[in-house]
Amino acid sequence: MRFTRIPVALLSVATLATTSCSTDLTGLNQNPNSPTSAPAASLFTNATQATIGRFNGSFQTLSMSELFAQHIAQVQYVEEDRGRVRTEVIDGLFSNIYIAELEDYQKVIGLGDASASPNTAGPARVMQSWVFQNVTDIWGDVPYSEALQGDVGGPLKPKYDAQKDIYYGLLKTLTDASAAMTAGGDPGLGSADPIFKGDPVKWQKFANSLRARMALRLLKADAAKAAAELTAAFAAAGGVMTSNADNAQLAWPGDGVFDNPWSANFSTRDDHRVSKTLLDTMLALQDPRVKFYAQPTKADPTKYAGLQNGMDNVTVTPFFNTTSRVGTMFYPGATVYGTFGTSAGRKTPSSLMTFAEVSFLRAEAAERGLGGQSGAAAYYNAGVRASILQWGGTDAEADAYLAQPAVAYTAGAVGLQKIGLQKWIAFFAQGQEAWSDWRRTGNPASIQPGPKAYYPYIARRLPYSSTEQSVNKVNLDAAIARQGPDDYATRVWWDRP
Amino acid sequence: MTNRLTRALLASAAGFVLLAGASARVLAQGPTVISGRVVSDAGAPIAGASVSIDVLRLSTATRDDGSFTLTVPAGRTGQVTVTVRRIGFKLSQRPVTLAGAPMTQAWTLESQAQLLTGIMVTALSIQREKTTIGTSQQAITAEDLTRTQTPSIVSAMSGKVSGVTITGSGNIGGSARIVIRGQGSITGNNQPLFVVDGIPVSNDGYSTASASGGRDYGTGIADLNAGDISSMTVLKGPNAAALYGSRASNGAVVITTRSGRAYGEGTRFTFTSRMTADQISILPKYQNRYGQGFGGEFQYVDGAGSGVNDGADESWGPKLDGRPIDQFTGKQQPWIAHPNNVKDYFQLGSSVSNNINVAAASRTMSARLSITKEDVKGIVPNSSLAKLAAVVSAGAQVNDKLTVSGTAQWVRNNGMNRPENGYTEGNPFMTYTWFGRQVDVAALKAKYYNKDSPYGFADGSLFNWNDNYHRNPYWQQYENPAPDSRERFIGQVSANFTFKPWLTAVLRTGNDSWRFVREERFAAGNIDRANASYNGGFTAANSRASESNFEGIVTARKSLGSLELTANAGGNIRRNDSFNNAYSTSGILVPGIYNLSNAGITPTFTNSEAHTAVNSAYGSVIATLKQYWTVEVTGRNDWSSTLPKENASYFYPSVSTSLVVSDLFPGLTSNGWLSYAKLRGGWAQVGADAGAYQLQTLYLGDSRKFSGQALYSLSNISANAFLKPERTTGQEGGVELSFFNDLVTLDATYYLKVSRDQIMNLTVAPATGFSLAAINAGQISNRGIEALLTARPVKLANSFQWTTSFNFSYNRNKVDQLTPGLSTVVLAGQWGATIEAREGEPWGVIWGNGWRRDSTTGKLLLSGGLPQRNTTKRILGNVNPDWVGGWGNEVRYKNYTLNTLVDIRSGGQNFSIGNWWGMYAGILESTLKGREVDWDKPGLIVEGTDEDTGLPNTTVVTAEDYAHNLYPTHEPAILPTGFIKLREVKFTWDVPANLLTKLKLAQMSVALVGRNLWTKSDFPNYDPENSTNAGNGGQGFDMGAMSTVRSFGLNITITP
Repeated sequence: MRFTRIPVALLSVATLATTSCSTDLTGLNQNPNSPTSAPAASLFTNATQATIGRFNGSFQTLSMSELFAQHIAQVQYVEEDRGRVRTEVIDGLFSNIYIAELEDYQKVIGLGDASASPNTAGPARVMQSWVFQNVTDIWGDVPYSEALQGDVGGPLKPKYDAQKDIYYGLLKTLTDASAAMTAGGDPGLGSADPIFKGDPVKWQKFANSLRARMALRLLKADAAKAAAELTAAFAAAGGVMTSNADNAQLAWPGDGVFDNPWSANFSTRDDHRVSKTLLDTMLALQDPRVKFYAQPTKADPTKYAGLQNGMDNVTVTPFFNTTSRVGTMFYPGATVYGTFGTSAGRKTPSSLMTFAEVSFLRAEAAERGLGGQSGAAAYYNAGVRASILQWGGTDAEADAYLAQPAVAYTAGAVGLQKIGLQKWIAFFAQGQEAWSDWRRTGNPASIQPGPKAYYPYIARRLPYSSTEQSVNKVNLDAAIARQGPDDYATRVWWDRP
Repeated sequence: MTNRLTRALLASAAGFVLLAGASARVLAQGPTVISGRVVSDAGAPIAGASVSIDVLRLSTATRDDGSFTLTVPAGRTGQVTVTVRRIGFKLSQRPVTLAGAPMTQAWTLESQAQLLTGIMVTALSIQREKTTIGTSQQAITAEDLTRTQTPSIVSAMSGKVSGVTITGSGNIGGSARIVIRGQGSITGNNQPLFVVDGIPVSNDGYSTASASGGRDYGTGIADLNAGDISSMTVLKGPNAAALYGSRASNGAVVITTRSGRAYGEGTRFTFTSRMTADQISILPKYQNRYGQGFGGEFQYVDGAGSGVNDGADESWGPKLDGRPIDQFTGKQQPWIAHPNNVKDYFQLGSSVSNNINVAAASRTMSARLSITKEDVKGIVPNSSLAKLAAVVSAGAQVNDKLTVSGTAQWVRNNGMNRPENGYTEGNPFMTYTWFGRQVDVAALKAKYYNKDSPYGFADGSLFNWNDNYHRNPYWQQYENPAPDSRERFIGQVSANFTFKPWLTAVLRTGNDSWRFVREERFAAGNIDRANASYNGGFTAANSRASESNFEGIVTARKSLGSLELTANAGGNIRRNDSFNNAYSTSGILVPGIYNLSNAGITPTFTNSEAHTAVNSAYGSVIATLKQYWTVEVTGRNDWSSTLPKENASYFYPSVSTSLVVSDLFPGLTSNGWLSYAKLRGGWAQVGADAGAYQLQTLYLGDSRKFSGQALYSLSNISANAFLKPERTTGQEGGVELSFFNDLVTLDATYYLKVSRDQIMNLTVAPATGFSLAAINAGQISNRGIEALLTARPVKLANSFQWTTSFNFSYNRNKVDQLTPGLSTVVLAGQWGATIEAREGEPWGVIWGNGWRRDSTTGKLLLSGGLPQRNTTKRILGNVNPDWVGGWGNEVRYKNYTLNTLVDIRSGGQNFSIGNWWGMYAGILESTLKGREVDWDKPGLIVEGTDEDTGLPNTTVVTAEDYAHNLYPTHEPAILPTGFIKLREVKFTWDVPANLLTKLKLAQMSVALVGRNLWTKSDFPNYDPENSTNAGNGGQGFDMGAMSTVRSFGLNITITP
């Protein structure tokens, strides 16, 4: 008895020990929750909605670019409108752009290239270029050539590239992507593409149009490159956008999960009014878009009134009910403080680039004799009309508007001014472009710091993400040394007085 | 250093074995027998005393009844000296003349220092003589753990163990973080392993709390009922814990639960009742001279911006001088202070805990059943926690070869509205930071809606002082309920086999599993979390986890003369499984039905599971010579599922030694002042594996669809397929001393702990496309001193006795090295400030923006009269205390006992977001500076140099402008977290024997208890003890979180 019990017990312990050694446990470490590869289409859909949610969303536009461009003013919590964007907003914006959409586009590009599908890789390249253009326009020098390689052995501290090199790189990427996309080629993204439903021709037009936008931006800094790229962009196969049907827009489902980002913000916050700078201009021109951009004031429902930018808490408070909220097309219907419009506002599309902008680009090129364009007035008129129609106006309204002497095109310097002004009006809700174009042209001149602004100038860029001081200091310092002090006053490379 | 010490220890171990072999070579030429019995001066038998004739290298040990038999080989005659020694008693020697015939010798040993000796439960639940332990371990008695009512046994340890730092939150059932000997892991788990009756139990945090919100649901160990614990031993370093493997690299806490045999044979019922009244212990000092608004102006219209500054949630408004102003309570109400508005919001909490237990034992069997019911009413309205716990244990000696035992514990916690800690509405202190100081909270309590019928607020608004960003705090508590429920089962069974007196084995298996359900509901009308177009929303999560262990250990004990050898060999199979499901929707259709079928907006779902396993084989050899010199060598090998196949197996050894110097050189104690002295030292290495699924970069799906299209994105964590195990090396040396027969005792240790090859998710430059990258690098070291000094300065014949003890822990932590090219790891960030592990600095420095200063004079550089932010960040503080300590006192006189405990923490800083925004919002008393006369008078002239003129500043600014200028500079909110707290006071009356007889009771005691009665700290306004949660990322920020609770109570224990 005793002699059997001892070996049995010892045996079990020994078995335990040997089982411990011999069993291969590695198989248990296969993640049952998430795959190690994903379809390019699903990555693209997600990255695209994330991109537009961010760049047309509340932090980028309502807390920054729309305030700088003086389309919108803050009526409560006015810190940003006085010229200081919260550090953590800047940090989050910079980080998330790279971590979320830029990296996901990188994966789509890889998958598209690997499966020889330029109609998959192409849209991802165009979207990634659009994002990079925005990023460098916001900060100037940013990580580009060494970026997005954290999982493939690339540098963990990517260097900051000079803005010139970034622009050159993006122009080349767009050129190549546009050339590679073909109608009737590979099936591409199809309905997973929330912008053009996989239409390679429209992507081509978007790519060429974006190239023209970027080329014109270089006018002061690198005139030769600007001219050459403009010419090439307009002549590129597929052409540029030729109607509002070509607009690069995201139609929001408006299902309570994916809503127009302004409507999501306005559903719980009431911090914004339409800027006095914009509304005064539009009211003076009897602009038919006023009713789309703004609501009558609560105090006087027959009246539209803009709010002065850059006031402080004390000076802004009397204007709460006497200035215009943003138009109901940006409201979700019910909000926590009242009902505005209908739930259709959740579906209002967000624009990345429109035919109206392209028309103004061509008008400016024609006026300057660039890019092989001519007939500035026709392009100008087409741009104004496209914008009015795009916002829901009619041809008759456009005709009447254009017939006014203050709106009608006049050649020369005045023409350039009118182009700039109309482009700025048309850019409503596309704050980033409105701000960038104002920096390039100084147009309209009515954009001036508000009475309680922290700085005696409108921001020329954003300070860098403060977390870069922790995670990428050497490269950050090099960029600052090259570009100038890391503040709101320093101009980016293409921004010349 | 390491290598030299290692070599020295190994050499001594080798020498020891040789010596032991020599002493064992005794020639047998026919026996002469000396037998006898050893008793103490009190007459009790002494077991385990050694009886030896050193000149003949003969030795034996006394049996349980104190008897011994020593056989002297024939041929040895004449006079020899017999030595009897037992640690804790004075050595006794007597000449004996060997004449060949059997003889009987009786010995009485005089007791000596005993405080530092005795039996201790140590690693693998093995009971060992403390004198033989070569590493630092500290036992905590059941009495220490249950003295006052605490949220968990971790909180109950605060101030009582040297080398241990405990931080907690003040929430009902809130979490407590315990770190032994400093942060050993840069980003990984820094908390020790908890082992109950030989089975590891989870101390996972259930917390969802982060700096931005979420709730603190406590940590797993809070499920254990302190009253069911019979002993607890803290194994402080990797040395002590080498046998427990990876998870004990931060130390281990070994807990033994009470058995039915605690009171010997028979049946014994005990009834314990504890009642406490709880109140908030620390409230901010609010100002009561200015109400809501900006620039001295305020008028209420809709609380959302339509009036004059009525959307403002700050207190820079008109002076509270009684002037009539339109307010949320009505038109033209007197504008007066409500100094107690926040204080009145907090209610008197209570905690009632009743335990009944029965212990029964026969000669061969024992059983115990304990049932505890605890009901806590929180100090925040409508918050509560109800706990029901049952423990049953049983043991049986089947025969003289086999003993079986088992324990089953079941605990259920039902919580309601545990407060949030972060920057969110659910955190009362955050609500009252963005606040109008004139607000009458009683009015908010009276009604939540403008119309009285619930959900029928016809004018569309809630009744609130501010409808812009805030909820009525009562509405928040009653209309947005957050219930939770957690059930836990811990069970173990073990069988002990005794094959031979020297050979035993234990087979043990145990399981710890829990299920946790939590929900948060949001009624219609919320400013967030519920879509305004719908009738509310909700989120719910359901998680469960289980850990199973199966373990077998064979133990052999052999006495070879004066050498005692113990060898253990064993194996363990561990398996962990966890499952999580969560779902939420921000829009429900029919009010009040918080069910997915009532969702108007597509719900979001997540589900995940994780499985890991570790197999282990281990062994140890303990050799003790003449009771005073012990050498222990251990080895363990783990095979982990979470590491790449080629790195999955890793071995880690340890060696330690203990030498009772006072026994080796008895002369040391002859002068009378030194009674006992022990030296110990050890070296150990512990390996650690990774978490589950860290080897592959993943794509994350989304249950939501975009216009019907599936969504995927690449994870933010770049994985590393080549991870290898982490290594922690610990060295320690210590001394245990007793003076004047335990009048003063000292137990002190110096340690050095170095962790290498850490598996970390490093915060990398986001331009990499990732926020984190898994890295296997770095080195972090902790060195420090821990000491426990105990004294009994007064001990009178009339039974008056005073015992005082002081424990002290000093730790210096340094991040020696990260991966090449990286100089910092960002652990957490808030409002642009980060807690980081920077190379060359301690773990947990606060990195942020300070003020600009003149580089020569150090004076502030001002512009427009205001300090300016330096955009270049720097180290502003360090979250680690310089040292922590506890000072305990016990005074006994007859049947009365008074216990006190003072808890001390010195040094360390927090980025106090509560103070930062409290200043900004003008609610704190300190913001009155500059508006003593009126809101803009006399103003402030900040001392400093004007940036433009270079001259001393003369520009006057308002208090409001000054306070608003504090953001976004972190420096003014980096505040010292040191404190002295009167943690525990207990006055006990043990009912005297004669009264007990009359009451027909075996035992009864009544005690008055108090906890957190007094605090002294330089940390303004909030509780310095707070952390957001128990994790690494929860350290160093305070969001104005709940203060610890001050409680007064009554304990009654009755044994019929």
